[in-house]
Amino acid sequence: MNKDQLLGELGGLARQEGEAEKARLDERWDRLAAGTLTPEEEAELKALAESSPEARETYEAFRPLGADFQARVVGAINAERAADAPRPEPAEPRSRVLPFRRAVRRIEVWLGTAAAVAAALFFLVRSPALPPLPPYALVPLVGDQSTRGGEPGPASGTPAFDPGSVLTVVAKPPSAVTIPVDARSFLAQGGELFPWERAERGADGAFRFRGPLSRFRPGKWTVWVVVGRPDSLPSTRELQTRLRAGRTRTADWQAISEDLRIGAHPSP
Amino acid sequence: MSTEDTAGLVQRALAGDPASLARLVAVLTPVIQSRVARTLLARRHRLASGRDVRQEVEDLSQEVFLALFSRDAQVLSSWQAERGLSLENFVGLVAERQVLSFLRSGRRNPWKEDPTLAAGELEPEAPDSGPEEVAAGREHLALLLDRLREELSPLGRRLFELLFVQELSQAEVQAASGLSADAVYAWRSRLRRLAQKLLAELSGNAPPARNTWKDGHG
Repeated sequence: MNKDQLLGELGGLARQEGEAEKARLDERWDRLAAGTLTPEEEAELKALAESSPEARETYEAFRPLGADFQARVVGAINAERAADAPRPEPAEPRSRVLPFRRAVRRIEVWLGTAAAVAAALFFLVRSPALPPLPPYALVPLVGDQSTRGGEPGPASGTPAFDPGSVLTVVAKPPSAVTIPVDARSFLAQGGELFPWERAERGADGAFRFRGPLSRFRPGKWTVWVVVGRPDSLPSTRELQTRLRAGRTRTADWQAISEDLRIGAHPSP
Repeated sequence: MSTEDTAGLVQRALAGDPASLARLVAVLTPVIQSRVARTLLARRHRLASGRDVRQEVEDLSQEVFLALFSRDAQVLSSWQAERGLSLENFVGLVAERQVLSFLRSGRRNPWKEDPTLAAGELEPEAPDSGPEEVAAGREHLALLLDRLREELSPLGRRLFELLFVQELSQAEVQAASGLSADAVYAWRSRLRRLAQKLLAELSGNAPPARNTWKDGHG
């Protein structure tokens, strides 16, 4: 084999893939994301989106992320920069810390102080305009994995679930909620967060998440639910950064969690 | 926006000017979204059923921004217009790499440096036989191509594109990349070694890392 034959084959495959992608998704889709389609083109793509679930999914993937997204990104970049700088003990409540690695560099203390002051000023200015979020709590999980004797697992301790189980998690406010709130769920293991199911909202403001555990490997996991103002929920990365720093609450959202264990399939 | 304007905008954003950062995010959002969406949709079979693709696009797009700006914006700072890659193309390659990494491992991997060359690595290599023969299957080759894309920096991707996708001559590659003949030769060797290393990994006993989000079937 010519010493560059492998790279040549890879290059050829890359060309084929590029041509196939152009045929499948022409440049109109890029202009959909950029918001520069003509009304006629937009109507065409919308009509296409109605033709199949796959086309609908494609349309949703390219539909512009919008100004809210951009504002969140700017906030996340600034948070990342602030997280890189040292800071005094945070004023926000701390909960138990996930086993994330701390990557805070302890230099230039004034930067962290300035960031904290700026954040405090931001909340001082903003908070009076918005009603506070109610404190949500998770309904305790009840495991479903049987012991060897066929009896249900212990009621205390970490609830254990069979890998084939469907997990239901409910986050409840202390009383009915009238302000706009939204919620997202995650499962965490080894310092990594994985987005889980979408929320179903109840009339009283409670959120229910329900989904199979089969895509997660056996072991100890933590389910996290973040509840907050709809336009201010953190992305996976932003939440992970916050949790690494031991922060579970801002003026716009709160994160609550429960541990669980996904057991190996019981022996036959 | 001209290259000079773009470079100036990037510099001001990196220097911490809030208006420039907001403007840069606005300029790059559709570029990143499109590349994330294209990369994800072309490999949608690797996502677990029931996943919300739009949510994934949104999350991964934000991941790309954070990858660009994390660690003192090390990745974004490495963009050099004179290398022939526009900022949009550069960022697009970063986005593609981020999605491929996520699909393979389920994790957002930190940016890795290009593989370095040890002394003597530019020597001609003995003809290989074994591992390359395993690459007969198109699917295997596609996996290898994705791994190569995932491992390479934007500059590495650019050199792969020029040398092996566009199949330009040495002189044309030098002109397009602004690199010297020696640097292009070094990149050719680096790419070859990386491809062989990844092929050996894929052909060996250690399969690609399983995607945590995939339903059951690696």
